Amino acid sequence: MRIKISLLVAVLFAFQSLLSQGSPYFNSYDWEQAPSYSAEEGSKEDMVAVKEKTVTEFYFLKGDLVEYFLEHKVLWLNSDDAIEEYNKIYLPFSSESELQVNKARVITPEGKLINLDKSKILTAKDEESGRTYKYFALEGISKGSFIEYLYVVKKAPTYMGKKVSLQEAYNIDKVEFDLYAPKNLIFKFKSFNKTPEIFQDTLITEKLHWKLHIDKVKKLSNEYQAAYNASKGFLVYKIDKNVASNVSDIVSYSKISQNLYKFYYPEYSNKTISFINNFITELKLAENTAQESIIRKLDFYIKMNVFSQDMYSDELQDLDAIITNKVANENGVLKLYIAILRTLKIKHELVLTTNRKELKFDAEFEANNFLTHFLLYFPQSKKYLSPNASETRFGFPQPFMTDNYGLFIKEVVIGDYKSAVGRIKYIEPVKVEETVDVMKVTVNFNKENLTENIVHFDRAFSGYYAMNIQPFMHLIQGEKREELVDSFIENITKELEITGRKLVNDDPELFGTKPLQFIVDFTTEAFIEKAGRKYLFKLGDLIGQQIQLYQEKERVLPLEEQFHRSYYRTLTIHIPEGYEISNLEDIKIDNSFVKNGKELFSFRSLYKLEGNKLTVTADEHYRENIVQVPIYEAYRTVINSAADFNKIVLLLEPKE
Amino acid sequence: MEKFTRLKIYRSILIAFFLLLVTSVNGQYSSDFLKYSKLHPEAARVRLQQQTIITIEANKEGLEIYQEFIEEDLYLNESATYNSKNTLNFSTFFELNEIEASSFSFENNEYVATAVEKFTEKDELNQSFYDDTKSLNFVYPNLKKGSKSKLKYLQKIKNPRFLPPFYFGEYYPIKKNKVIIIADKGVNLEFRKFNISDDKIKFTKEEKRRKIIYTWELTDQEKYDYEPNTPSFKTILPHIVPIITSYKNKDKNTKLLGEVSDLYSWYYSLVTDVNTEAPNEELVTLVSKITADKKTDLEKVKSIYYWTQKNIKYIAFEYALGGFIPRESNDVFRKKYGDCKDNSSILYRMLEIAGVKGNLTWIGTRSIPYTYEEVPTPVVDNHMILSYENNGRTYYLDATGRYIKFGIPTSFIQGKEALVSYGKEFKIKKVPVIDAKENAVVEITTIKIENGSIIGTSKAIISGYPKIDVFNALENENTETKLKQFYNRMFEKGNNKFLVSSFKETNKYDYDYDFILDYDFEIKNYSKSLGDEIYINLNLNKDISYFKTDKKRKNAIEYDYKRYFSYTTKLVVPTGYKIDYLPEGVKVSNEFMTCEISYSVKGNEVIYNHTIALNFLILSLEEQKAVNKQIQKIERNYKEIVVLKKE
Repeated sequence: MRIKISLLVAVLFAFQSLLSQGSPYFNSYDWEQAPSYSAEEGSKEDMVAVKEKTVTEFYFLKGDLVEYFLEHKVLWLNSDDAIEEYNKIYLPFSSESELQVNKARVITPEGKLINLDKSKILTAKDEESGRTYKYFALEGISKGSFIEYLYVVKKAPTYMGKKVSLQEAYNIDKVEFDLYAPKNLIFKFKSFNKTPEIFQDTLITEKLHWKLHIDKVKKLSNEYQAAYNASKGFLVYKIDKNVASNVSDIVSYSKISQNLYKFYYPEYSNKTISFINNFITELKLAENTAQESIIRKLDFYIKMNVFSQDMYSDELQDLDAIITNKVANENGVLKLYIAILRTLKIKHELVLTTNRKELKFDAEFEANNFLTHFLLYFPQSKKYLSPNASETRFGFPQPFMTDNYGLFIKEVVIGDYKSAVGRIKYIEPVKVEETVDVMKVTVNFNKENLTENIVHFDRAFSGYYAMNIQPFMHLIQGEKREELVDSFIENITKELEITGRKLVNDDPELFGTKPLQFIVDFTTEAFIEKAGRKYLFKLGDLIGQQIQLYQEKERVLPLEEQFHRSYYRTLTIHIPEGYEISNLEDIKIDNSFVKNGKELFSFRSLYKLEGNKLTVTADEHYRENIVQVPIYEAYRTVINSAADFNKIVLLLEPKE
Repeated sequence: MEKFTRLKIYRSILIAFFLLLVTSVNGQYSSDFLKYSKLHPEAARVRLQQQTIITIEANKEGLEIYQEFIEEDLYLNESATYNSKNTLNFSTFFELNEIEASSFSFENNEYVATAVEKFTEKDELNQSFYDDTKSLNFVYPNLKKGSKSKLKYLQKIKNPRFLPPFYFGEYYPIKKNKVIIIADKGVNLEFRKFNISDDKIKFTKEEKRRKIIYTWELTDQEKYDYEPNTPSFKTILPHIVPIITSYKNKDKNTKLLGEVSDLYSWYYSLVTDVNTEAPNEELVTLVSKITADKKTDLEKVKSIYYWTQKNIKYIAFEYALGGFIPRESNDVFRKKYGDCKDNSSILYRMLEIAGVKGNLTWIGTRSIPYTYEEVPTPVVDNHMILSYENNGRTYYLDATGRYIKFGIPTSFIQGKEALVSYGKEFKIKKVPVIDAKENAVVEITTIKIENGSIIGTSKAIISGYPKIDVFNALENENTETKLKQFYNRMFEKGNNKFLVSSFKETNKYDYDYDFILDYDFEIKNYSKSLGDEIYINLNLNKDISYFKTDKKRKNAIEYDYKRYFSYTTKLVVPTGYKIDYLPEGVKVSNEFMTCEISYSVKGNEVIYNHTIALNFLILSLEEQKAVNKQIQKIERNYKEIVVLKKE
């Protein structure tokens, strides 16, 4: 999802070009005519970047500010995979961009240069997104070749905030980033993830120049559930001051908040008001409906009825047209939510944040590239909704947009004057009690044939666990419904005969208030193994296979889960008459991790034996999403406890 | 490369939908809706009408062919809005001419039409690196439960050989389906039918004003359910492949298609001009270098074949007839990439340089179920390879992949017909299906019990297609950690506590020799000990269970290749223990599979043996039942436990 924030922010300052700025940097830049790149002798790496250079130059051209974006890469490709990934190059481009320079070549291991013929550069257009691709296939690559490409695009300038990646999954010998700007435009930078700070080079005088050149940037490998992209080295830059017009703090969340407010909270015409009211009537809200129920209904209705298209067009964000056609784009959908909420006088705040897996919202450096995803926040219930994620529902926003900082924009009314203030706050994740998986299983043995169990299986999901299914239950009919119920059991065993199925709370609008419950009765021989006169009952199999986390080498990056969650399991076993279980103690597992008096992760299994009724409970809680490296082992122990429980086998022996 | 961080503004003609009426709140549904939602309670939509009119006219230049489609849908539940966006594809051969689309919403007891005004074009990059496929995209406004949509478009078919098949079934019910072909009297047509029971489809042929009108009509066709791993939908959905065999213009009769020889002569005309220039000197040098120490033709061909697999990467350019004409071998050699035709072209040329004759060969992959006799049109194939004959045996060389051993075809052409070119002549040959035994995973494992855990060492030998799959997967596992995790998954034994502790790879990425992995492993808490007894299940790999199909399955199932597994596990009986109980063995066998488990004792070792041979690519529903029944017997045995007792 891409938010077209640039549309919303008017250019607030006039540029002035009073001073000579020299010719653009790229005019005097070129690759080496006779390159002598070398790779480390005997290297086992799949690929290495000899050079990754990016130069961004802001430049006045006939009174307009433009950006020349230069990228120059030299890559050594040492595996089939690397060749197949890099033998096709796609350049970023838009219909308004102009390619100034575009060349590419292959340097074979024997040192032969193969230049790409200009006629081989292809173009593809997409009217919908407005994108134009320039792309080409590099010719003559063999294992151990270097590929090199250099291009310069002239484009509309991006100065309100941009991320520059400085680390990759392969080693880079030389990373270079340079930013040039006219003398009146001061830029501001911040480096992340142990990247060195950029510095200003004052050797040249006709323009401003900041540079960051780093040698030998070590590769960063991805790890299981790591926020990999957010963890690589990068920097973010933005314009800060225009000394010519004496404007400073150009990119600030307070200004952005007001601009966004103007765009999303306009005065509505009478015609629009009547459209909005019509839409509200369609919601069929009963009188005195509680606020949360109204929001839930609104969210459900918009997501089931308004088609959101990923495309820019005025029509798709015009309220009158949206309400009439039920087709919008992401901005349009958000405008619709806000219009209804305002009309119904429901207090809310507009929140902008990032996907924490990709980029953590920075609480200090204010820049547009951190404002990529919208949420709506409701102070009364302290809940959020994701307006542009049709698979989510009120109270359960896209999980990776939570547990992260965000910009909260709140309407302020002073008399007739309406405005907005923006504040940075933490978006708390949805509480652990809200996402629960409750399993109740009763197991009987067939007296005639002790290898057969009669099982009553009852499982209820709430919160994020129900969100993929419950809101869409009305679309799943007939056989498909049966298959869905069965799939939850077949996850545990496929060897079974189902005798009854029941679905509780399958009304899609109950999502968020009632758990979705599956009740299945079945018989199976899957849980018993026979050893002579004894029976092995695979108790652990009842909870289904559990994730086992391996750790081969030391964890480097934190692990990031989506959401907090709990599991409550009660397994009731009626031990057949004349038999007893001799290893009940195997059931007991107790692993937890407590931080500052708060239990973050735990797995506990216990049993109680009353006559021949054995009651086993196995509960599991995860109350933290971002698992930092120092506590990773503790987390792994808890996760693996469930996998250990899954292996528990009880021994049924005839009583002496 | 700079990534897109925001969407660029789209400045084109803005959308303006025709607004005929303002939405009002009316919960009522149309009588059509009430009728069809009762008839098809499980369907999300029903196609009320589907009409295809194909007109074929002979003019001075040849044939002019248009295909007009009318599709009318009724949406039966709230998922209606998900159908808002629609896409039509077109290309050099299929030119889109006129299009009209409208949605109809039911307001105040009548359907109100809203026409789609905005259509956007996109160059599709998904199929191949570069081709002429474009898509036209549009969105139906206001689709909701009870709404209808209607689409009408006209397509010009620019090459009469590409007359597309028409289908009488879909993944939704079709109320009325009509196909009309209006052809000039001089145009001769043939129709090849698949999966069609004649009693349901009404066919008529009539002559009107020097035109022949063919009509097929089918009403009330139930929906087909999608199922994973079925053979191609072409084996399931009823359809007709029309073929223009000949046409007459200005009293001249032109033969087009109908016999395999007609198709072949067209194909041949497309390849006659290929590889006419002299071979690049470097290529000549290369060929003599890689064949220098090779004594026989077979060895030479093999080394050329492997060089091509290793050095020519797959990138497809399919613009216009570029999808049919191989490129010059010199070009392919220079670029080091190409598609299947280009690979065949360079193979052909390299063999020629080595003094060996190869033959260009057209073939349909297993996704196309027709024989050349059944459908002698370009619809029958989608791939090109090179055939090489030696001593009465044909070798099918397909260099688009990697690790393909000389002598075995790629798995996706097994059992298919190949159209082999011999200049102006051709032969149809059949590609063999590779035996299960050639695709083997063989493991010999020794295990010990230590404190309830299993400590083991194993030798795994992998050959045939599974080896190719493993090599392709291994290319992504480029770190020690990833590799170990891959082997943990691949060789998992007992349960997911299985952990490989060290391993040694032999013949990794070798084209000829079997891949061997020697590894040590541990499975924590696998055996149970109680009192003076130890219980252990020696069925560490229960592979046969993956081949048991769902009993609710409705269609045949297809696999990539036949398979063979053999697991030998030697359990070292701990000192001080003796074998108290050894399970019985089991053997099942039918024409599709053989599977056996056996136990024996040798010294202080229990020797467990499990072999599985799966001799099928496709299993019909009946065959699945037969196989499932056998698997069940084995699964019962999977529960058997060895009991050891203190002496």
